[in-house]
Amino acid sequence: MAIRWYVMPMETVTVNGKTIKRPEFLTTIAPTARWGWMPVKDGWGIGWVDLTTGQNTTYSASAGVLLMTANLATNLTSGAVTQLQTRLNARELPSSWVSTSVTWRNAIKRVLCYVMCLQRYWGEQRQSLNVGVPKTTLVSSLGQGVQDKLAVVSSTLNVPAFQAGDTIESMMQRWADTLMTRPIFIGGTEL
Amino acid sequence: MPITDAFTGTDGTAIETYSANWALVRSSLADDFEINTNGLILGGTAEKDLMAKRTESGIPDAHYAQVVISAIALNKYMGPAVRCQAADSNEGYGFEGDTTQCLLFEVNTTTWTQLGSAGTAFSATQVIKLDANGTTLTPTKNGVTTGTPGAQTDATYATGAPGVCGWCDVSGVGTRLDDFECTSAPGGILRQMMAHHGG
Repeated sequence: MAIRWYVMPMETVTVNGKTIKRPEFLTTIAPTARWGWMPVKDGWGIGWVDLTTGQNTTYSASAGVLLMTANLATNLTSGAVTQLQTRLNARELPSSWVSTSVTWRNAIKRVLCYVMCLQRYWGEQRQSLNVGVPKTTLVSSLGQGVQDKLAVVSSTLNVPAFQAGDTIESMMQRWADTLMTRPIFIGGTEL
Repeated sequence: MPITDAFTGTDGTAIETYSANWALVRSSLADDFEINTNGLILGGTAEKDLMAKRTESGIPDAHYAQVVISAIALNKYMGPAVRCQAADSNEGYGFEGDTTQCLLFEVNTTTWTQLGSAGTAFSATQVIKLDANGTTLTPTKNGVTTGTPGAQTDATYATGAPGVCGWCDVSGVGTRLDDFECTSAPGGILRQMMAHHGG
């Protein structure tokens, strides 16, 4: 068994009449495996799973799953840079910082910081921030209601307010810079 | 001093009738939390998932909720809840268990998002606590967090109130909570007495 970090697709199931969202595939591949994640309402999450080599092979090959690393201390390879940037761009999240000089620990933590921003926005607006909205969009061009919610997000996360000329990307980068200085816990594991 | 509630009563009174200091956060189902056997149970005979919160004003956003397990049964999950949102919103965080496992989750409307793999079962006399501080949720059993679900970062809900949660397949009989405790507002009891007397 080994803990590896993944981009994890989400499934919605009904158990005893209760609708539950959880990582997809794991109940089939490894029903008793330990895992932790930070989920996003759009149907995915970032987290770790403790799997055997064989289980990891099956899980990594499942639709939507991206194996990132088993060793947080190593740097991203050039192939991993491309893969991670592709995933981030598809989600309209900042990606220009991804490079082979970044460790997996810092890469995963920064993505988790973005996830925290998405979670907090959803908690205020009950809808996602960046679905269908390019990250190059000026914050000042968003509706006043959205800007008001973003102000609440920055206040409640205790991160810098957005500034004139900010795009969604530059705002999230600045927020992530602050959040990176704080501990993040995923299933009891601290990053 | 923390807010406490011993759930004293034996007649099946609904929790929000038992005390105006409780409000249902998940009340779309016909059944309710009930006070019985001097504890809190899942009333009724149908499957249900419920959440209820304290209504005192001024409880800080950094708060905890704690219960003692008096009795526990298969598929009758109960436990503490934090950052419970508005009455009837069905939103907040919960930590609940039965005789097979325990789960940490975030709930919005009728959908529960599991935060980490299941932990070991709850057992009678255990003190179950869920703490919310900033964006960190910390579930503990008898003051200890081991394995999953462990400490968890989640930023969805930044404010709210402490409370209780529960879920059962059919009848909820068999699991019972006692000795609820949670963070009080600054000035706690004195503030509530002054408000009661118009002070």
